[in-house]
Amino acid sequence: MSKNIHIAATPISCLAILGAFSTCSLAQTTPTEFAEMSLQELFDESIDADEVSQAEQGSKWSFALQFRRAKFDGYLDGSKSLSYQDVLFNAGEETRTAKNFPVLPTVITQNVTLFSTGYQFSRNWRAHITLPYIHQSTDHISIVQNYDFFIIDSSGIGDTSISSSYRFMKDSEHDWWFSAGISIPTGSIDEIGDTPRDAGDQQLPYTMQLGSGTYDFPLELSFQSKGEFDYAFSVSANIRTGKNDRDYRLGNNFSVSGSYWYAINSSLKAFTGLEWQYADAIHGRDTSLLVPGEFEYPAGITNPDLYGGKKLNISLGLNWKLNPQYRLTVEYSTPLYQHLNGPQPKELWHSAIKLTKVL
Amino acid sequence: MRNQRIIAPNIIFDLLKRLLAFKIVFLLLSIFCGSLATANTELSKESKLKAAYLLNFTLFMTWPEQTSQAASSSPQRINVCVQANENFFEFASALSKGAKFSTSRKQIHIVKFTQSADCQMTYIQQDASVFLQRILNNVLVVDNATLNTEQAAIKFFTDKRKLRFEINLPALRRSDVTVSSELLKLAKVNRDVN
Repeated sequence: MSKNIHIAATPISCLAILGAFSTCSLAQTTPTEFAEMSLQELFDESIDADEVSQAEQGSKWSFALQFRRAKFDGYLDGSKSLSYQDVLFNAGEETRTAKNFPVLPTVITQNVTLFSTGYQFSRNWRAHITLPYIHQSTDHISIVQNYDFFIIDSSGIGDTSISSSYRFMKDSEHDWWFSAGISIPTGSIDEIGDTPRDAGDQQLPYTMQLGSGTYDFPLELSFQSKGEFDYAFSVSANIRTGKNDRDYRLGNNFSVSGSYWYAINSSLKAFTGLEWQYADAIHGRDTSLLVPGEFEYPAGITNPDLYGGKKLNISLGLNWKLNPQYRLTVEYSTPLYQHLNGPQPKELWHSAIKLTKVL
Repeated sequence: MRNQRIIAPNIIFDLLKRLLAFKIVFLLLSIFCGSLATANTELSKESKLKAAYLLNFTLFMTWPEQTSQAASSSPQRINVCVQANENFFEFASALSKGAKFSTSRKQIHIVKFTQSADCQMTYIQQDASVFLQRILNNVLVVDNATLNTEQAAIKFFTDKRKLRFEINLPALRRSDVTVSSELLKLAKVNRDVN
């Protein structure tokens, strides 16, 4: 099951980078590799029909195409639900505070298409490179004249992720993997659009940018069972460094997840999982998003402190081995619990469809 | 009501990016369609494991001829006769060319069951009980699920999604073959004399 880390309305680079940073089964079955295996290694090997690896298919290359979609609607402050009217500042009817705003994003839709190529150097080493293409759209309401309802879109290439995984422990029951990577800031942080802040196009808020603008380091420690029952466990993080050209850095992300897989038949598996996520708020701030006056944030999503939080997600999915070379994974996830640095848009659900092919 | 729609990047750059994405999707679909036809002929992992086990078994067994030729430097030829589909035969043949088997004191040869009467080990993949009378004085290896015979010296079976094997010691002794304790450690051992 692939992982993604994105606290509600966290900039989409998290979804793009970590959506690709996943663990998959590894086996070896080319004649040459089998010939090198000891009797004990043969003894430890699973005959799981769902295992798909580059080597198993006689190639070291693999390719994956993944579509991910997430939707956010409504607001949370901590765990408390807020209505649009609670967060929208109504001039003349209520006092302006740090928790109400004249501009309010309502529905946020994020779509990411991930192109990923993998190469298996050996039975214990593999590497992946992933390039995301992002499209996102946010509906807004506001009290600004002529901007009572408007939509902002942005789309383009996101941050490129390169990662390597090493299987550092293997026994008859479990595989242990450690993965580390680097996310290169190829995604734009200079997306502009027409907002109520001023006439013409202006810098868009953090959520609408396509990249982080910083070099980030995704890490993951995971294990997978190979015994009678299928389960997996992982701990992952995305560590961000420095500050980008706009003088901010997105928050670090941390995640702990576990999943259980049930074989419906030899080629179809259903799975369910839980994932605990934590994300920091944004460090620094993009001053071009501010407006003059006592309250300098025109919308919650322009305030770097109103990002991050904690979340517990439950996921359900199917993994279908179409044939020895192709595997299709479908996943749907929704939060069971969210505690956000709010007011902040809350996540309703996210989903993924992934087709993996061994070339 | 939506009264404004604002596209952030400029239109030409965005179109170029969409075109790039379209080309990649097209390439993916081509690869997908082009290989579906051949994908189903792939040998299962279980079969590949069995082929690897067969060759490894020979390294942990001693045939009588080997004892008599102990002083000789010439390697002993071991014919592993296979009654299985063509994919299995080809995979096992490729395996036997691996360094571990070619540098052994034994020369391991994968032979089609129907083409040789001189077999030191015979693997019967499908139900071929009609051939059993032909298989005398050699190590018979079978799949427990398809052919369960007391004549078999080694039977493959699966347990908790792992491929395991049972060694029938009396049957092995009838073949005048001795087996290493290293192999017995991993096997389910049947010592019953039937």
